[in-house]
Amino acid sequence: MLAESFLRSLNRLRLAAPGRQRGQYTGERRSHRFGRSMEFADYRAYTPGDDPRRVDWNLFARYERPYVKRFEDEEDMTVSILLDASASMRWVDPEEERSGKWERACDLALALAYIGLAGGDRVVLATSSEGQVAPRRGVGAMSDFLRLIERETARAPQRVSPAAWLRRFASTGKPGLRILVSDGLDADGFEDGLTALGGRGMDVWLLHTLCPAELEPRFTGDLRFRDVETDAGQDVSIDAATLSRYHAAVTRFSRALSARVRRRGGRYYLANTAERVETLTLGALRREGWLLG
Amino acid sequence: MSVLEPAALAFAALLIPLVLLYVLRLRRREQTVSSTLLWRMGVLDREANALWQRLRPNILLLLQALTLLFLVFALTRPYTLAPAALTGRVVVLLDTSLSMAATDAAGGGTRFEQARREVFSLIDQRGAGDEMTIIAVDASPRAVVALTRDRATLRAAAEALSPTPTAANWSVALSLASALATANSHLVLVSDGANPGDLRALATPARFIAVGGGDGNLAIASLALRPTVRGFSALTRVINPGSVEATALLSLRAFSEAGPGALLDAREVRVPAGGSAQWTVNGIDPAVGVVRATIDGVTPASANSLAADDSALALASPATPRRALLLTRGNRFLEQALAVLPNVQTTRALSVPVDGPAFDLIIVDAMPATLPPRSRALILAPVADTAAFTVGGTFSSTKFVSAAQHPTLTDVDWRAVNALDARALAPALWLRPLVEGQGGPLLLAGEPPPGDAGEQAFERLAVLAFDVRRSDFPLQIAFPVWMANTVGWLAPPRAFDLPESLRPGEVAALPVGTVVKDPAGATHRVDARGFAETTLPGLYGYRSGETVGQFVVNVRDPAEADLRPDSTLATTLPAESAQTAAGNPLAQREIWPWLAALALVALMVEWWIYQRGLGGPRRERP
Repeated sequence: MLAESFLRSLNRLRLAAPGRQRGQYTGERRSHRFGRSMEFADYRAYTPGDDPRRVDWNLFARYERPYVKRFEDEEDMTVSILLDASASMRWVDPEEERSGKWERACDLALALAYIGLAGGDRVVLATSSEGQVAPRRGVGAMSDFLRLIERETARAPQRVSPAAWLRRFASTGKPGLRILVSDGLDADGFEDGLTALGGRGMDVWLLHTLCPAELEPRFTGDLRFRDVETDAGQDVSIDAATLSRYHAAVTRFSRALSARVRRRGGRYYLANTAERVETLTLGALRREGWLLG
Repeated sequence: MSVLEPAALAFAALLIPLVLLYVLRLRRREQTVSSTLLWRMGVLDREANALWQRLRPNILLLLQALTLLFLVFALTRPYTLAPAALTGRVVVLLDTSLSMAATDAAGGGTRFEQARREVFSLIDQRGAGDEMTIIAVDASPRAVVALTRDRATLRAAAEALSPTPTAANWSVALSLASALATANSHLVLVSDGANPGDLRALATPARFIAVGGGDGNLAIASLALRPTVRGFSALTRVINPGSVEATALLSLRAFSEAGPGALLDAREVRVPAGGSAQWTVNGIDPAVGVVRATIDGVTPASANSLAADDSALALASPATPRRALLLTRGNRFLEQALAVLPNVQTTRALSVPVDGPAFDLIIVDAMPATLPPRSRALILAPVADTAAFTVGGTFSSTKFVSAAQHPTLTDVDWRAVNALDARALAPALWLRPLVEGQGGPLLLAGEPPPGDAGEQAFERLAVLAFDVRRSDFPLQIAFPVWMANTVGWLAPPRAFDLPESLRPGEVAALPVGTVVKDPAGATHRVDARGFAETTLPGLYGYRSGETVGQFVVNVRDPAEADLRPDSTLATTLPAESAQTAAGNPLAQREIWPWLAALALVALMVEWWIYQRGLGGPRRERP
């Protein structure tokens, strides 16, 4: 899916740390917990049970009271990449042979997972159809992610409520950075899921993927739109005014999602799936501050 | 505009299904999309009035409806009324009379110019195979071009015409037109109707194209000079047939070919609408010869739209009277007969005055007389010999035997004349007996040939052998006739007895061979029909042998001066078909082909817009 050369170019990138995150293992990212890293943080009075090796003897000699050194503990970060695999993401534009939208979303999810793995983070890849790869470290885990994507692509999309999926993941998933790759299109709404996902101070980044047929539809005439997920019909007579209103609706929709994500310190980017994954990752996401390096 | 098939308007109901096809969206295409969420958000406010929204301005719907309406309207066969085109043989009578020179035509210019434009229009409207004749209608109507198909010839003929100062002679013009007309002919009268004449006898279908419309005109109806004890007196009469009172400056001048001439008198005259004004000027010197009266400075200007009748001429010196010398001891019959002869001034005496003026004629009544040489003489009951005859005894057998052909005997019945006795005369050879009685000649006349002994004595001589007082001749109707013939033969008038003024186109009774010079300077020789080229108003001069004279032609036709349109002309004509206010027949001109063409154009535009996708939202066409 991703070219070798492209993956090599991702090696120098790091996911921009959203803040001190709690991890299970000592990693390359600073933690809020004071620990055993080499960066001095503070002193506190010695209490029984403290490691006597961490007593600052120089202070003891000066003040004749024992003080213990506190160091900023450095831990790894768990990056959860949530890929919306609903039918709307799998929808095939009538002017295309394959779903460019789904392919581009998979590419972006894998690229972000690779960047996380390459940066020493623990990475979880989960899809809305319950497929999930347990936290992995090291780029060698990419094969597991690829197989998940291949399985997900091979199976028919299932009707899953994105809000329910996100709530469930928020309660059971690993804490850390959560990157949601989705079109946000659901009849029942996406907002509740986003709120749940960002609970407990978790950072949520939303990579909003829409295809050209959704951003700049080129339908004409009197149509009856059939929703690929709900099979609901919607009669629309397309003219310039209707298209203008549609564009306004897309803008409102995008701004609403962006506002909800940013309100909790998250990031939002609307990706046109017609663009190449290289352009999006090496260009747009770097400019947006998602990636460092 | 009206329609022939109003029931076809029912097809307009097809608009309803056409619109319904747009409203009901019977052919909505189905399209699967990733989500209808955004579409619902985009069209939510439009769904509330979706029914009317579907009828939003759509150029394709408009063009389809327009096409349908054009077709429905074409099916109703609408038509307009338009002047019917003339076909077949067309005879155009173009009025070229005086009133057509009036400058009150629609759009400016003269009535004739407007009429000529109408004729040009008729020429252009006619079909290629249709013949046309143009008759110029004035005092002498004539076909200027006959039975011609060539438009250039017809236009050139009409172009060459112009108004003449004469009255239109419609009866002759219509007779001429009727002679040229056939079964499928149409007559077209292009006239101001100011002098229509009697057109009731017209049998051919005719239409009347009226030109002009005003009625303002001042005209000099008459100008007459009368001798008085102190020169001449001029009487001028100005008429105003129009409906507006007008004032004008009336001038009387001595006529001059070179310029306006010396002013004799002038005054301002006020002429009421439909009335007239007269003006008399006395004491005009006879030496003036010819006087001209003119109208100038008419106020308001619209009260005088015809200038041709604004001047008139009059002769102050009419024909010189012939002077006759009557030598008699008293003869009432002769004196009365001479007194009634026009233009003869008779002097009674017992002998020829020695130092008196020359006489044109000497009449010797039964007395001896010594006549001047080369006299023109009438000798009645001669008592003495002359160079022309010798007098013998008398004879009483005067019963009529025969009469010769001679100017003096024209219209004279001599058979009823009885005389008690007559002189027996022995005439010279040249003195020819005209009336023979049983006892000898009763009347003789002749001219001595050159070289004859009598040439020195007489130039012309007539001899009546008996005394009229001893006969019943003066009681006969033949007597004044014979006297007039004899005086006329012996002493022809120096100037011919013409009216004081002729109208344009009127024939001047001048002898054959008379040379006439018209006001334009052209000379004409009079033929047996008389002089008819009096179309130009002005002063004419003529010469016939020794006789020299003048006469004037004046535009003084009250009918032509009256410019008021005659509304009875259109109704007088035999109707051809429906007529407009102007009298033109109308024809129904159907316009459905134009509507069908418009429908086709609208359909093509709709197709082009649909193909180019320019009709706003592209949608399925019903």
